[in-house]
Amino acid sequence: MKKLILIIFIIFLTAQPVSASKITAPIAPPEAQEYLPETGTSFTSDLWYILKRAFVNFMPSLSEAAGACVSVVGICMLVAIMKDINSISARTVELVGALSIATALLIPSNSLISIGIETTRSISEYAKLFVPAITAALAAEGGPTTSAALYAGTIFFNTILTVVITKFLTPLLYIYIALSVAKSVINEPMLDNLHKFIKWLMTWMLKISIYIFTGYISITGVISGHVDSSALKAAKLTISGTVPVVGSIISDASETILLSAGLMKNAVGTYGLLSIIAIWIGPFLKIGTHYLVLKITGAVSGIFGNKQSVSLIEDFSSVMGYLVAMTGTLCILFFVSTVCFMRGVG
Amino acid sequence: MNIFIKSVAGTLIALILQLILSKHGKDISLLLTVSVCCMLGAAAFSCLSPVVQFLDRLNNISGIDSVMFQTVLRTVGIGMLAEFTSLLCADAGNNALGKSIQILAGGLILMISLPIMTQLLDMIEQILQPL
Repeated sequence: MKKLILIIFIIFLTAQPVSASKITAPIAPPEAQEYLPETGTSFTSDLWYILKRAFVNFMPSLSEAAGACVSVVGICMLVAIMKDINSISARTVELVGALSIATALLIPSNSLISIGIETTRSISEYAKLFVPAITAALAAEGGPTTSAALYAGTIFFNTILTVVITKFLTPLLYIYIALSVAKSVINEPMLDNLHKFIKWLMTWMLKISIYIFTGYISITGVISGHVDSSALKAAKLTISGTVPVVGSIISDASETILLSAGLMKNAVGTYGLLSIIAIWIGPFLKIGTHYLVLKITGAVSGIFGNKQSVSLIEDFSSVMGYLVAMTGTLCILFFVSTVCFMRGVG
Repeated sequence: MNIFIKSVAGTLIALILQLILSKHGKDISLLLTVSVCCMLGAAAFSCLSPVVQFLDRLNNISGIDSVMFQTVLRTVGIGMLAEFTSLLCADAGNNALGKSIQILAGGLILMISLPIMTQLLDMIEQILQPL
């Protein structure tokens, strides 16, 4: 009897206060709040709500893009009069035409580049808050190794990609624009080669970052996923085997706790996905609209315009394409990692 | 269309006249060529007026500073005039005059386009400041 009382006393002494902690996703930044629904229902309906809100804000950017491109078409039409004349004055007119097109397109391009950088920073900042939350949720579900590996990879690639975009690719975009203008004015083969090299470098940088990231995610997903699932199975077996009578009940209860943690993790992940879409969708539509309108302008100007002017318009549309790719790459990075977090330990 | 048919007819008549007159004196035939060319040039410029109106409409839609449009329009006008004069000079056998007018037109176009260049330079400065 004395022994029993002593055991109960020791148990009470060594007991630790335990309480359930609630893991929530960080609140989306103000620019994303206008797209997000006030109360979430399901992922599909919330996504549909975000898309509808984005399309409402899409019309002003379309008219803005169309305005700039209409003036470019006008300039191309004027310069086309001197198209096939090979004289000093005709070449000077072409030069003025190229400069005018550059001036007309540089204003919106510059503001869109700034929007692209801002979006990159917003996604990155939000991810820095969001990834620890979903890491904690995945660890609570029984995947400490997977969550640690995914956390390290996501934060590392987020930092690397943000630095690459803001510190390397953005100046390269400006150099690309400058070379495009110079190429259309001077028509020097050396400039053309440099222009092509910068285009290749930007594409290569983005491709390589996404290849390495997806490679890392695939490898860590396979290895750490197996480690965690094996550890979980071993723990369940140990509990049900060692604790007599109630072992299997405790094992089942732990299953329920893990399922609840999984639900919480999925809720955090869904909100995170929607927040990232909400941050990205506005700038994406704005830049994407300019990209498409510039592509159309290039095609229309190609009918009557001179080669230099058309090539300049196409280069500006490439710049928009790169901006979409930059913001899109970062967005895909978080999509992939969030989905991996949500997939859990398998 | 009407003006084009009239111009074609006028050009053909001028060509026949020029062939006849060239046997008697080269100066008169050259004068004839110059005067017909001037008339054709005037017809071409009158054809461009609806185009200019259309471009003006485009400018209003785009909402971009009209100075740019006007500058490009002026440069095209100068370029066309210079080309026209240069061809006449070449026809008269004075290539030097033709080239000179081309160079003058090139200089004038560059001078006229200075506001665009300044605007572009200002923008580049603005962009480079935060970098």
